[in-house]
Amino acid sequence: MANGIQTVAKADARLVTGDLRSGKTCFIVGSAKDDYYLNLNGLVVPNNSGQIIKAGALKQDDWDELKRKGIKFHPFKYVKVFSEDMRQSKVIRIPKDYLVWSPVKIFSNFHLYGLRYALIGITQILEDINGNTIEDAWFLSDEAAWLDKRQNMSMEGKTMGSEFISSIGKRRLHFLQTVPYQNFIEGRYIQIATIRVLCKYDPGTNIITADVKDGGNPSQSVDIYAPYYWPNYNANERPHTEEGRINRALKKFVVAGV
Amino acid sequence: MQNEKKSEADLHYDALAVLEPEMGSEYEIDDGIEHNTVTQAMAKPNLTDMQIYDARMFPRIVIDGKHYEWLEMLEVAENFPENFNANESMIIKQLLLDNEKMPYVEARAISHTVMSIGFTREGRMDAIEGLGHARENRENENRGLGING
Repeated sequence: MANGIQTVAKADARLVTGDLRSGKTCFIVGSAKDDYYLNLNGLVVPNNSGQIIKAGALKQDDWDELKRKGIKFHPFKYVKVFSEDMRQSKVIRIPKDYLVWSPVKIFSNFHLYGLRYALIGITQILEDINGNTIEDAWFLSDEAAWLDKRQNMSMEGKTMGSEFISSIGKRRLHFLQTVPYQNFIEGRYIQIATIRVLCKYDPGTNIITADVKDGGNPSQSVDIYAPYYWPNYNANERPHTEEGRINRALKKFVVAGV
Repeated sequence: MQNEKKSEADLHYDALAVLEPEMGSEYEIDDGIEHNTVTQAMAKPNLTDMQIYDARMFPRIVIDGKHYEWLEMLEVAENFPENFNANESMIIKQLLLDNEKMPYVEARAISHTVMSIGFTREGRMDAIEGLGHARENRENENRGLGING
């Protein structure tokens, strides 16, 4: 995905719905994390020196070799490290406190852990509305108020609704929006979304069952193991409300004398 | 990696981006089973309901690598009741001639399956009915999305 010249392709705009605590955030974090690990190119040494060891994702041959040695598959625990001249390589389990470095860009409106990302709010989006920073990237939007139906006549709602989300394809973004029910959200995005996902979570097995409807293709029901992605986000983090909106609301209360 | 020439957009991203350690080890749970990642799960081929229906209702007849197209034609032919037994015994003989080691009962099972699917044109009717249901379901699923044409 990263740094490639892209011809016209289908836009990846996903609308992830489901009851509260149904694994919506886990699904969007997982989508970005998979791509991040698939394209990883380094391990960050944990001593603040900024040193990065060259590394790469494991190929099927590497997994076959590990399985012959009796090592159990885990998609995010092993990498292949290379010497400086790239002539020698070795498969290792990622040592404790080492972090994975990848060229895949991720923008998110909530905090991520173990993945390099940029925390983004409406201010940064507005600043870059004519820029190129938010391009070729994953954009994780967890219950963001900027696409809420009740905000669609505010300035940020108009900007997001009419300008930003219309440019998802041109920006080559993987735009993932979570919302409990799709009628909570700005109508344009409901129609723009190319993939619709409905999540259900089973706490007994820790499996999220996602019903995926990709355009005109038949629905597909997929099972996702939630603990693979739990270390990468805080399930109790609440969506951040912009200061500007709080101030505006407070001002109205003062004027009304409440 | 640090020496790569970066665009202004990438430099801007670098200024915004952070990489923090993963959440605590209490989040590392492993049930010991090999699971799919999101991407792997979504990439798996998913047969349409119609394809599953088609495969079950009209089985593909391949014996020792040889594809019996003429038997599959009988699945949607009109098999008359008065010719049923005669046709079946002919099919069984042909199967046994082609496959010396095939047990009689297997040849009988294959011929009976094929002949009974097309019994009095029921195979054709099932195929038409299945297609109709699939079309109706698709229209229901797409209702309101403006993609039915």
